[in-house]
Amino acid sequence: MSDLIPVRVAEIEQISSIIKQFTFVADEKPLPPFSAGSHVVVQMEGEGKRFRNAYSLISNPADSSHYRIAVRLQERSRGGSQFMHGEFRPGDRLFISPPANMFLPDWQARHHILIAGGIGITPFLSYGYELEQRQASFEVHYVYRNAETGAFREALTERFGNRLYCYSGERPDFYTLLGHQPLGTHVYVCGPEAMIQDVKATASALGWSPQRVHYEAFTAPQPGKPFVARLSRSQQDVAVAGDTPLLDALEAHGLEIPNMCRGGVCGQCKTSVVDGDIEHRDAFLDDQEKASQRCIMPCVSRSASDYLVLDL
Amino acid sequence: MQHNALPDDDRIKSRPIYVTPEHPATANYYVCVAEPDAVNLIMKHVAPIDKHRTPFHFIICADRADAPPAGLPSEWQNVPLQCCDRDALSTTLATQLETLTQGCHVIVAGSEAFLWDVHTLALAHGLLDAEITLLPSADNARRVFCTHCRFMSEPVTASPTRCQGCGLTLEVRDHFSRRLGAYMGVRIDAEVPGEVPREEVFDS
Repeated sequence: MSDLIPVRVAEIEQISSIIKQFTFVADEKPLPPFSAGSHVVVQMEGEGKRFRNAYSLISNPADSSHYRIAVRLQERSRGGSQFMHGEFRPGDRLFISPPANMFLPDWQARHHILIAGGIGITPFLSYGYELEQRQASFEVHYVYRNAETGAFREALTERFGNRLYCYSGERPDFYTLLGHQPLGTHVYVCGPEAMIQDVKATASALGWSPQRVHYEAFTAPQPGKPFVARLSRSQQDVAVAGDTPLLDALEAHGLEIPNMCRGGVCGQCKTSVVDGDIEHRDAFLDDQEKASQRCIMPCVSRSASDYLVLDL
Repeated sequence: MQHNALPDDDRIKSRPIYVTPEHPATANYYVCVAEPDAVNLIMKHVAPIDKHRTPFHFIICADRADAPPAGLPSEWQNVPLQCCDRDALSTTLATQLETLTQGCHVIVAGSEAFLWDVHTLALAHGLLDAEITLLPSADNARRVFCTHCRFMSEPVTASPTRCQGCGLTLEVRDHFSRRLGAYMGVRIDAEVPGEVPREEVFDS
């Protein structure tokens, strides 16, 4: 991550009791342009601990004078969202990664169906701008538990009008939703894993090919049991605490490992494994690669054995 | 559908490989498009599908408008059937696809050129390659695109062949255009006019 961008917090807005919106500007060089569905990794310097979390850009892709993200406070998180909510003040300076996009709209689609669960609405906020600019046909289904998690509904009602469907505390019937769509429709889901699986299964049962179902499978790294990463080339041991992702531990040790999403999707951080039992938690490696136990995505995956020997 | 050669295959990469899938694809509606001689291929392929649960629509496309009327086997009498000729195929298929929702699957059988004509039409209506099944052709006849006059000659069963447009003698290459459904034909005696090798009949 040598090409980090220095930014300043220009504005912080409390959207609901658990969602804050941050606007970043750059004082030196102009911010790079981005496309709908892009994310940035925000680097936070906590006390004795560095957090790096990926957040979707929610501002207008046609305007890169600033970037905006929305952060939901996660109670059981490793601390990144708590840091964002508790520590940042307007005027603070921090580093972010350049935007990357693992969740592009398919511009061949004749109709776009966007399905968001709670804070999963974020990528679709940037989608909305670009879909409107291109005069594309689309509809948004926004599913949330309550007014706190569905905090964007009013702003979205204003923007999308009757193209917005809200579901408070209930799930739409995906079978009905996907059963009557015109030929050439694509569906995009961002939300809890169970919702993604539901949409995938429903689409498949209706005869939709998998290429029509797009999903943001970002998973924040989940904690696990502590283990030791042994670096076979330098013969060094790196202790990985239960609440620290392997990638973070390796970076704290001074290693630079290419990465983009830090959520098991982009494939950049793939690392060779010499020995040990891998607990795969990513959405990038295929079943065969996972079974081979020869590579790991250290951003989300961990070791099931006490030691994991890496080709580093 | 997977029509592409494997990376270690040494045949020309543009030439599609046709495989009858073991099971028909899942769909909420099947549109079957066939040339009269190939209707039986579709029947065989869709036999495992319960036609009382998933709707079907058949289009049988003859070469010419005055072709003898085609039909379906008696147990398919209740399935909607349209017969048309090549000139009307585009409109007939478009009208049908426009009434359908996402989740329909197109199954095609006939000559190789016919398969890709339907494939191109279906893509234009928003279908993806994966939503179109092309069943392997029963014969080896080719449509040949003349790179000199752009005329398409068909059926061509051997190389070299005489272009039905400009009359040049063409070597029929294995290079295939999915958009045109045709193999490339290049003048074979450009260096020494009249020096033409022996004809080879396509065996695959």
